[in-house]
Amino acid sequence: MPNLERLIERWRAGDEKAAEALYNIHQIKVYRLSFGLLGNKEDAEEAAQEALTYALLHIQDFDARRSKFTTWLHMITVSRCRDLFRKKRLPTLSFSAWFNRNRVPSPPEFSPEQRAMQSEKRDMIWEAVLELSPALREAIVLRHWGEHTYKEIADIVGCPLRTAQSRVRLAYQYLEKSLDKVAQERFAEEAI
Amino acid sequence: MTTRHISEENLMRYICRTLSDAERESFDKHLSECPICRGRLNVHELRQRQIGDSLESAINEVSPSQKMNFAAIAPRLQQRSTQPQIWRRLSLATPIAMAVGGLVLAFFGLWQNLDIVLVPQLHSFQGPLSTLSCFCFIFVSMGQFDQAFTARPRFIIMALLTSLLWAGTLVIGLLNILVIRDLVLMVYLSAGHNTAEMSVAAILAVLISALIYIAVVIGGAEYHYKHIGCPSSWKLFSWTIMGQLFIMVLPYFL
Repeated sequence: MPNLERLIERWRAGDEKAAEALYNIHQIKVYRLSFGLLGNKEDAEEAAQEALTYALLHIQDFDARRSKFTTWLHMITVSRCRDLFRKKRLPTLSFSAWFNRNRVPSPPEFSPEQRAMQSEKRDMIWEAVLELSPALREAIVLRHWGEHTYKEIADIVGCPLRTAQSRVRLAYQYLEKSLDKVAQERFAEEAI
Repeated sequence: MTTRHISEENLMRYICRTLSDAERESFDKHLSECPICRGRLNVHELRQRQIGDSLESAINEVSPSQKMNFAAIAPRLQQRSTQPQIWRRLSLATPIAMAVGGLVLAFFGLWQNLDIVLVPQLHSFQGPLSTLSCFCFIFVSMGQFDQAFTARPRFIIMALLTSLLWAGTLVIGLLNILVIRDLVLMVYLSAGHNTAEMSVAAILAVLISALIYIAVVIGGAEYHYKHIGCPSSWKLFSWTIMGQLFIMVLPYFL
């Protein structure tokens, strides 16, 4: 991997090739983080593009002495995901939205074929993750998938350290309860 | 053997590594002696591994479509800001200047209105300076709220801005008490009550609003101190000042 600091410096000086390299290095990680937070491929793509564009446009604001580039980039990504989430929740005035208002929102992310291929337990956990509140989902995704420290999570989501710790713990507790509930239901079904 | 088992919450904190050193040491000791808690810990750890693995594989299996590439954003990057360092420093100084300006205006606004005594005649509240200071504070808090996720200023700047905004809400809060008193007087005047009744009502209004003011000042200080620079703190400032502005402009509509 090319030296990240060198690429940032080159892009700051105006070298577009460096911007492209920075984009290519972080594209997949930013996209997957957005997917983890939004649970929808199209939205994740939109949020990831917005986040990468913003980060590259505001590269002068990045200060390597204060945070890692990934932390800074993830902070922007979380912010863009929140914006998108908020936008989707607001009522729209478009006619298409009006006519489609009775349709079930957010179609299942995986096709039936894909679902069949995936293990049942993983699906179950992923669905439980999507049911978490946005704040808890951010915490668990950043901790487990992003492998950020609690301090970094607090910086990224903009909350005190102890709040970040509690959010991760609460998310685990909720997911464990969901696992228990499904296991109990399955046990009851088998008994019948 | 210790009979008191570790609570579920503390077990989770143990696994999430959010315990203090002393707590961790005491739990380690208990776990080495208690097979029940060790068993519970193993179950939690196993579940957490399952959760972690599932989360990781669900997220890692998706990949962006062909549409998501650098070429799609390249034209937008042409607008990249190439402003020199001096302008960037100035843009950082703007919210501080606005907050200081707002505070000065709020003090002048308070000064203008302090000499108003409780009189039976309807007097007019001098609001323009205070209203302007509210707008300054709203500009600062909303601007910071937007910045909070991307380019956070240094802690010292955020602490300074928080202190200035908090002081601003304090001064405007005092003005709000005066406005509420005036509003009560206006209502009583229009209803044709006598001066004694008016005075009692005004004193009551001042007392109640002062109590609310003290609660908001203390609660706000604690909250903002714990959340310096967090979006929630800037958001609370924005809502507080908008509420104060609403009270401030009420006399213009009555």
